[in-house]
Amino acid sequence: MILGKVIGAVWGAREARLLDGMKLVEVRPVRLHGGTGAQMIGADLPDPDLDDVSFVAADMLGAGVGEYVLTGHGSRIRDLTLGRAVPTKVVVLAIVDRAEVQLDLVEVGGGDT
Amino acid sequence: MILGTVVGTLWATKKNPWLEDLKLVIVRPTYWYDPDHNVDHLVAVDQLDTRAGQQVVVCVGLPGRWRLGDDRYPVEATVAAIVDRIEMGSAAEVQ
Repeated sequence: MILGKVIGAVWGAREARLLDGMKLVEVRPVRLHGGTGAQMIGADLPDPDLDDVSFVAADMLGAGVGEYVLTGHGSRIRDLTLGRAVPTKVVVLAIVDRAEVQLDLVEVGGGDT
Repeated sequence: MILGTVVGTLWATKKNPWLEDLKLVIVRPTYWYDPDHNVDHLVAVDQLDTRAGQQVVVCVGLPGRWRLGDDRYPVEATVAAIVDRIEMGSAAEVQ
């Protein structure tokens, strides 16, 4: 699961069957980088760094553009939330009110992509 | 399982019913582990009440759901252990 920001909504006039009526959102993951102190992340707060990549997620919770979401990835997560037949592998699991990241700890972890 | 550091927490009120009452933490992986999604953090369920700064072992995938006692949780990662001490060989330094 990852934390990302909804940067747009996606509509299709013609959609694959079973994607009908499902809301699709474009999500860009939050990028962590070192710093000092704690950073609060939320829709009403200044943007943290966002990743260059983005992806489309199926959303049943009604996430709006500018909100932060927790997304689950993979076919198992899809099966367990939307059902087996839905043609997506990324699902919005939660709308995040607030996230807090300790920037001074980020460097410790490494984890370069 | 992967090794990582807890760097933060997140709060959500509107969420999948399975995630109700589960604490979520933001983990920075220590080493690259080839996840589905090419990003520098992962969010894991935390039942061990970790604190930011603690090193943890995170269970990814199905074992992470087993850890929660039911494989129907739509969860990708769960904190499996809080690390007390790590002893690494010289190979670990060649990163």
